[in-house]
Amino acid sequence: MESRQSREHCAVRDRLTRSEPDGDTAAHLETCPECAAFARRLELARETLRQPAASADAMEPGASFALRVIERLPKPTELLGWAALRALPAAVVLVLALLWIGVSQPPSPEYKDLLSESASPDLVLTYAALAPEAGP
Amino acid sequence: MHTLSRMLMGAEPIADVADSEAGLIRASLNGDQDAFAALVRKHQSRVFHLAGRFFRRPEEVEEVAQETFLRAWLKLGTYRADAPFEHWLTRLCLRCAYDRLRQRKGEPQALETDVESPAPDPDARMEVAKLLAHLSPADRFVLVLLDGEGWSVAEIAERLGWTRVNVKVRAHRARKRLRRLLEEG
Repeated sequence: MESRQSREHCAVRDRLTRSEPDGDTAAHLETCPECAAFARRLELARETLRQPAASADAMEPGASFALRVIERLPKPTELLGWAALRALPAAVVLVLALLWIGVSQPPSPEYKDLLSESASPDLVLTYAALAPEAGP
Repeated sequence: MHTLSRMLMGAEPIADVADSEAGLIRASLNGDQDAFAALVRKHQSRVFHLAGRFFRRPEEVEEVAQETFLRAWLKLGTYRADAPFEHWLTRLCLRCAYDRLRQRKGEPQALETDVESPAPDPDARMEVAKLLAHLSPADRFVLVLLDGEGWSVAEIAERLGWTRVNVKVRAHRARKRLRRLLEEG
């Protein structure tokens, strides 16, 4: 019995909190002082939320408000500096990636044998003979 | 009519506002600070009223309003003219207010409501206001928009750029906490 009542209180308060009261809710509130008190407090809470937090004076911008905003705007040079600073991480990553690609790139197959320790003097001479001549 | 609703509806003829405003926005985009100052003067009152919904101290209201226009200047390039400028500014202002409220998360919550207004039961009102001060800034923010301004989930989602599901979850949590506070208080 008590559990059923408790469920009813819960359902009524749920509907009130979701702003979905119905006929059953109104009937329940007439007979249940606890839920009626809850409904009154909820209504007071909503009234409080509807009121602006600030006083009317605080919600009036002063005559020089626009000037104060303009004074805070970043100067074009600051903007440029800031943009450069923001681009810095990307630039660093790009440079590192290029370095890594350069270092990790395997040598061209054309010169692989030449660079290896096993290259014989004949092989070196062959490459030298095949290489384009320097000068006119 | 609520402040935010007035802000969104505007009071001047739409064509006039659009013509002059579009010119000011274009000039501001080209770096014309005088044009931007004119935009600020045009909307400052509404932004102050919006910030005043969430903060009581005048310096905080001013700070949120300044931050809103500062962000507007920096992000003006992202404004698309298919929606009124006021709506865009509303979103920026709400985001600024929300960010500031979240920054204060760890601090003790001040009583952000003027409870001096005449009421049938001043003690009860004071008591409820004290209970509301225990709400987290995020919960209070959502409740002000839902219950204070009477916005729907869809309206909040649109004006803040959140998904509807996100707003629903936040609203559910905030209402649950409000209910617990009122039951325990």
